[in-house]
Amino acid sequence: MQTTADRGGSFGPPACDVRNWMRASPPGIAFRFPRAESSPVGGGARTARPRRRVLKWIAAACLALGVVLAGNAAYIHAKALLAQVLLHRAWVATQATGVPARPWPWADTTPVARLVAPAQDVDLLVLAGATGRTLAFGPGHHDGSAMPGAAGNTVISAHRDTHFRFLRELAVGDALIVEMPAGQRFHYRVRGIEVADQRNLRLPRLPAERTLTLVTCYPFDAVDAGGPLRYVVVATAEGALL
Amino acid sequence: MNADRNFSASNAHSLRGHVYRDVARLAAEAFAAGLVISLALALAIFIVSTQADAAELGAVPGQGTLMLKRAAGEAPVAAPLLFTDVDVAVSGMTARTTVTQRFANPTTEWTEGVYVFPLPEKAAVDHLDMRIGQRRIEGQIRERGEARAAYEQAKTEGRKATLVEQERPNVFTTSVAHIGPGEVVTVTIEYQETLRYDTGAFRLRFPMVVAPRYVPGSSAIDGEPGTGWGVNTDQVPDAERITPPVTHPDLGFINPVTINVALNPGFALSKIDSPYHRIDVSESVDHRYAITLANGPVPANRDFELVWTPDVAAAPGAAVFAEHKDGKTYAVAMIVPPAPIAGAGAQRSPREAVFIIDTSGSMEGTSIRQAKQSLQMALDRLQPGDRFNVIEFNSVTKALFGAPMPVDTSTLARARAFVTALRARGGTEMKPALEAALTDDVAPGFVRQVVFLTDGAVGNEGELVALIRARLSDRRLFTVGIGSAPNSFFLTKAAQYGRGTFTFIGDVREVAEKMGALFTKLESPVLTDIAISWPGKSEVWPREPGDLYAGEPIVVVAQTDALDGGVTITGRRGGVPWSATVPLSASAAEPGIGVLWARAKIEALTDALKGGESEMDVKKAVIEVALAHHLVSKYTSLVAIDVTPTAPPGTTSVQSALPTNLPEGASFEAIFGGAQTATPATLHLLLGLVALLFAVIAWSSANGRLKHFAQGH
Repeated sequence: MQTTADRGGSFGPPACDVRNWMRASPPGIAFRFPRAESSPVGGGARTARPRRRVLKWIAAACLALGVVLAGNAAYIHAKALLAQVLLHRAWVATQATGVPARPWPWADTTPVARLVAPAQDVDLLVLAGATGRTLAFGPGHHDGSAMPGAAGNTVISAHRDTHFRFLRELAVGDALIVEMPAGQRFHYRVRGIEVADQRNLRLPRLPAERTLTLVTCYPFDAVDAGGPLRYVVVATAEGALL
Repeated sequence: MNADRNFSASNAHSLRGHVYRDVARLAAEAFAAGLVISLALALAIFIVSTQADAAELGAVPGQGTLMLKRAAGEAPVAAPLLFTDVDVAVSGMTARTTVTQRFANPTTEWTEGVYVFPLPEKAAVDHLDMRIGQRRIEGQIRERGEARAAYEQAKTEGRKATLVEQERPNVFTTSVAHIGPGEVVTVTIEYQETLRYDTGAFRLRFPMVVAPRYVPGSSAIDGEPGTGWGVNTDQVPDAERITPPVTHPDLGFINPVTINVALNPGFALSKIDSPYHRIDVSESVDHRYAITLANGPVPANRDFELVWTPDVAAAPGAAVFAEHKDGKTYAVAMIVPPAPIAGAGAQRSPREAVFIIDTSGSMEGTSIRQAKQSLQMALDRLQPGDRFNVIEFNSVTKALFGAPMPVDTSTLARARAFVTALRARGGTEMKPALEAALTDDVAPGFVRQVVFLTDGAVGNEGELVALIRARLSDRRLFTVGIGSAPNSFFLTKAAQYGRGTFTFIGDVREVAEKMGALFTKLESPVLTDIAISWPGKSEVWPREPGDLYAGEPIVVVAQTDALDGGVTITGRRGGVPWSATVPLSASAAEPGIGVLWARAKIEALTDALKGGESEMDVKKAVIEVALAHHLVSKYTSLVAIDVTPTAPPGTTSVQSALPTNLPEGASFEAIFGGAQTATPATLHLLLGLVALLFAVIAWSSANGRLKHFAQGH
């Protein structure tokens, strides 16, 4: 198992060398005198100036890197939120017209179902396919797993830090509702929650009951996005209500 | 330099606000220091919390209260370790292979090991022995049910036992009862096979892993119990028996294999090649060669293939080998028809080509690249006047066109874009795709071909082959086996019933060569309406040899009363009657032909099931042949039982399914699911903040403020 500690080597932005700024303490006094380009100052001042320049470049690089990284983090969350807003609009349009509506003009995916967790006040639109591209916008329905309402196991995955953050609040006995484009609703109740190593996990394609399985990464607060553990919520059907 | 100047200027300019600036500086530096400390703390908490979460997990797995089906044999019980040694003796056109499986139990529990593994689809398994230390117990052939009962009986009596069962002609199970703690039980299996001669070269194939199979079906049933991860369904009632657990590639390779081949081809060779593994070849006298893996054992995660090419002058035209056994005479004859008549292909009829490409999850990785490249090459070969269609399938089937379209620049461009955009994911629902290709419409004036690119990783082979047989009409279906561990049984059977031929592509580098050879074959069969007449009283298999394509030989096996006269093959070559006679008197003696004959007969009898023969009659006939020749079949198994009990009375061994590797180049996640379900947002935010902090520190340091701060201003 890989923990964050194992991957410690990747920590710390490479552009910022910690030892450099510790050592590069230029004589502060030199700094306080008005400087002339031609003045023959001591050797210390001559080395201090390039050092300062280097430090400023490092500062600029770190600033840029920091803005890009933090910006990207914000972008990931903004995208996840905004996409759901657009998907809800597309869903309403799809249900009104009966024609699958694209959530945004260049979208290569359409919502296939709506997942509601009443107790947690969560309302998500599920996309076709659980690939990295779809999961950025919403939970993904696994290709090859059953469609909601059909016999078998419906498997839906999403990111633990965006759409499926609410799974940690789900408890056994909680209700889940899945709505289909045509308006049918399927009610499920959470039967069990388990943490499993994804490398040993086999989700049955044809369990005895109609099943909804929600999968996300575990632990919820880990920094590392690549761990093998999965938080698996299994719910079984309670019959269809139209 | 510029920045420096500006800076000193501003410094001089702001001497007046010295006090305010010092206060502000102090505040900023205090803030920076605080940030450093809090970030360091945050980082420490993150790391610690991750580890705490991981530790807390120790208690969670293993509860097993849910419907999640964990593959048996995985954590917490360690499975026995498996080491395989393969020794092949090639003589002429037959090979005898000894597979030694060593089951080592590193645990402190008594264990029953169950290992599901592949063998060549035409392997005639006729020998088993089990070795415990110095003792050696030979296996006996029994009806499947009886053998299973004898094995279970031995198990309850605390005696060691080994059972070898056939699940598919190319999938077998070895079960070993009562492997003691720290003990090693060695199981040796032997089989005989006829080598494949094609396009001027002999090929020996040794498969090493049963690729994860997709199990179609609409409802779960009890079916036949097994130890795999699959769920038995109405369409695959023995899914549990053909789906061995798979180790994630991140956890390292398991099941090391050594391979040694003693090659006695009987003629001079121009080339020996192993396309997927590095080998060492040493030649001894008389064109005999010893071949071994160059870098020691390899993980059992892809087919081994050995290809040897005769010198042009020594290339065989015909060969006969014979064996006298139990008062009977068996002979195998191979005849290579002459090359197609030059110019016969000049009058090319227009084609209707339908390409089916498997885009299921098992194709993800190197396989889909091979398949797409092969398909693009096939599109290149289409000519004006032809028509074509492309069908992709995974959980759903999607056709490029509603019906085959004429070849022109626009349809070809659409096809290329369609193929380029294909991605592999989801299930392997093959039936709707075959139904879409094998429609019941007619196309007078067109030569109709279906080219089927797949790894064949499905569990319902029989159903699919029956579908091909029923709906083929005047088409010919060609299979292209893709990937490192294709399902050779399905691919060869589909081609047989599709009246076409098959090719295997295991590497992107092979695409051009293998597809080129397939295109030559696609032009037309070189020999049709083949009939064989064997002199004297004889029983010849196969009864109805299929059409031959360029470079392929006819191979027939007979039980006969005498080796007089000659075997006569008749057929139509380029529309003209053709015949050839091979004298039997020239036959060379070779052991193992009787077994090959029995195996060919069993295959023909089993094929008759698809022709509507009753299962009862077929079963009876197969059991009779199999028992007489000591052969493992669908209805007969080999079982070896120790005479004395070695397990303490009352021992119940832990049943443990031996895991396999994932086939090389495949994607575990694409087959078993498990997309990455976390974003790097938290990590990026954290790193971003650290970078910003360093920016502040570097900037302050450049201005000497850190020193200032340290001096206590």
